[in-house]
Amino acid sequence: MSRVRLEKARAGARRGIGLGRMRFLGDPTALILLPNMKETVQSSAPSSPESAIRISVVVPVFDEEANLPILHEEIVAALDPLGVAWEVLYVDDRSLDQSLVVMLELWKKDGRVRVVKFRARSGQTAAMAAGFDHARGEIVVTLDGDLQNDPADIPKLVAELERGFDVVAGWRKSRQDGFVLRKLPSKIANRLIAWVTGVQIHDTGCTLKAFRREVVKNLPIYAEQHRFLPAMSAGGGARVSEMVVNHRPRRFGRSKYGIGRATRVLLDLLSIKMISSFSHRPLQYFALLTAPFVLGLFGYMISLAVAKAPIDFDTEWGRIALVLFMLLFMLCAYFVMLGLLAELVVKASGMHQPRHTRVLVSGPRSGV
Amino acid sequence: MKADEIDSATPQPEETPVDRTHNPRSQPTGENEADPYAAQRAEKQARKRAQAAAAAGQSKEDDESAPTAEELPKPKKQKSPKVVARVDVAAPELDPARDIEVTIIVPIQTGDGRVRDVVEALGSELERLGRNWECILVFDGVRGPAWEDAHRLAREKPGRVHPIAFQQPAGESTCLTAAFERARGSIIVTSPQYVQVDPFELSRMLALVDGGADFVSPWRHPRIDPYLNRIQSALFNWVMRRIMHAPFHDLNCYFRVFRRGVLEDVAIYGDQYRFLPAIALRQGFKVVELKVRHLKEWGGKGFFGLGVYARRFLDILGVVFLSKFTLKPLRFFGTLGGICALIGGAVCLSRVASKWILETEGALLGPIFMLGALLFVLGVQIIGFGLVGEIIIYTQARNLREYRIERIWESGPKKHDDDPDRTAAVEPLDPSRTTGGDGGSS
Repeated sequence: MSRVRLEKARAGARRGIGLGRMRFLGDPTALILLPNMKETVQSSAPSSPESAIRISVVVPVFDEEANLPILHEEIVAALDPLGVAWEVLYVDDRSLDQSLVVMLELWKKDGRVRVVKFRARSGQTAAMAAGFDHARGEIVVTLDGDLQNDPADIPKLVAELERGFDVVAGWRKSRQDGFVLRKLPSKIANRLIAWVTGVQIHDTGCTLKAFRREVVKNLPIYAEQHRFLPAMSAGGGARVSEMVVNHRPRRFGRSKYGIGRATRVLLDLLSIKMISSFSHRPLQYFALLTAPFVLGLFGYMISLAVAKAPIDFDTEWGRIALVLFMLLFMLCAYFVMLGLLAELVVKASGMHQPRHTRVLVSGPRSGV
Repeated sequence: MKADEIDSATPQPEETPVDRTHNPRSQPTGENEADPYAAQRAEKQARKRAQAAAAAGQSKEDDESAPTAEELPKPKKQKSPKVVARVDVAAPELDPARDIEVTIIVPIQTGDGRVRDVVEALGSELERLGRNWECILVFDGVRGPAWEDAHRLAREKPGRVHPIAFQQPAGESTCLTAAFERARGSIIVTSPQYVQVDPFELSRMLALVDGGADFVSPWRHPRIDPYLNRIQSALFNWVMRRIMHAPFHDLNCYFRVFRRGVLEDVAIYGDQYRFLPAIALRQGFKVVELKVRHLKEWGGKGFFGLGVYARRFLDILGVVFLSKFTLKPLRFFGTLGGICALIGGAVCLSRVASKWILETEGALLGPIFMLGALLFVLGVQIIGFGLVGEIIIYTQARNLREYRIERIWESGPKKHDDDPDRTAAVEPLDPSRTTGGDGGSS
């Protein structure tokens, strides 16, 4: 469980303490989310004119010149009936085609369009991070630029979010992609991610997601972690929901992903688990990782004992037992030392200090 | 160096927004006609001068720092140390107190550096090109005749030559950073402590910068050092091209020209001075390589000794690791450790299998089994290091922004119509800078 020392929370939060999972997200503007509290308390968000924007749509773009005009029309058609102020951020990750020109034309025509251009190609996660950093809306919706997501789903996601969730992930239940290369690996990866992180999402790879701004604004997102966003925000105490969304086959352009990320997903899982669940007590994580070795060691000893002979270092099995015992003991000791080092890093970063936290009580809100 | 050589000497950088029809050598003095950006620049300078005059009129005693305040937002740079006195210079439009366009930075590592040669060669060339210049000489913990020479120069060229010194040797990267904090020019030229490259090459390099390049990396061609040095250098650059995918042929030449913005975004330290073009390229700057005429070479000949090669190898390892895996250390450590652990585990298992199933002769606990077990433990430890790296990055992620934004077009173009400054900031100043680079491949 992820209970944090409660005294560290600000006095205003004391009433809600213990009602749910909470976590220091660790930043001057980070939040402690107390998810189960029912009444709405005003958070410390400034009421500047910018916060009048209700929905920000973030679209990472890489080589989507043919899709963009259609996409924009669909976004307009989906969001205008809501009757709230919205904006759309196109983040250009150094497209090689005329995407930027198309975006600038949209920008000229539509005052709600903002365009961010990167100086170097940085990847989809970086594009989403830039979108989060610059979004002004209270709700941030991420959307692929390739038209496979349907912008008509945005109002549904927003409605779900308003029911009292902090993150709503899209679920492409009927995916319009190849089975062997796209669907099967994704299915396995999603099961693994759900099992390891404990956040039961069917489709982490779907870009169409809706977030409350407070949740993502200060989440450190880097290095292809966008598929772990629900897990990471859930680690911070956010309530995560999912919703079936429409998925359409690709019309223009080509897919930018291929197979061959299996080992990367495994390594990412290893670090995501640490970041989302153990970021303020890494020593425990390192100790947990040594568990298989400790268990293996015990298992070996027991099997030796059951087999017959008492450990006799003159026999070969006895010598092997000794060598393995030494090596595994070394391994465990090293991991505990590394865990201590990690504790030091976390402490020195100051990211879990109470003065770096704000308190937010999320729940159903009155609309804008 | 003929005009048509510029083309062949510019070895296809990825995105070259350079106007290649423009030949600066044909009109060395009347460059403004040939330079498509000259009008912009002249206008900018005129505006600056007008503002400067206004500022000087307001506060007489403050007029030394006021004119440069626009291009020097940081207060640190205003206390440029060695401005002894302001004397009227012959050419009024090249007043060293204002509108410095080019700053020459020379890190000096030995007391017998040819300071005067460098400053006079580069300075006179820049004056000939009509560029207002200054020179910052950074003494890297050394004194000697060069230090006195520098002070004589500072007296002879007041406001132009600024010697600064470290008490202790700090390395070239630190020299560059220290000088950059004091630099006033919008274009930085770095030079070794002797005239290594023909100063006439400056005009071509500056023309490339005017044409939109952010960084001009030189390529001494043909080189005039001993054969052995050339082979070593070529090997080093070949390795860098292979590993870093940095298309450079001469990273060891420090006669570089770049825009101020490069160093504002690329923080270098340690031994990264050498890799500056490669790092700038990775950050998305437009880096162009240009063949230049090599005049002479200083320093050692032949083999440099084991320590130098070891350091160079570690340099490459560090730069490659940092450039590829800074934000995902577990990818590096995890792959390395995973391979080790897999091999080690496989070796151990195969020994056990051959003992049990094939019932081969000999003891199980032989050297091969031991090696396999050790390799396995090593691999798992390496993965552990990667996890520590991950937590370091997670806790520091906010200091390590993954993306660099070139430009944001804010919402509502109609909003800015009444505000000319805002419109200027929003409209693309030069299409080739904003869209041409992308359109180059289409």
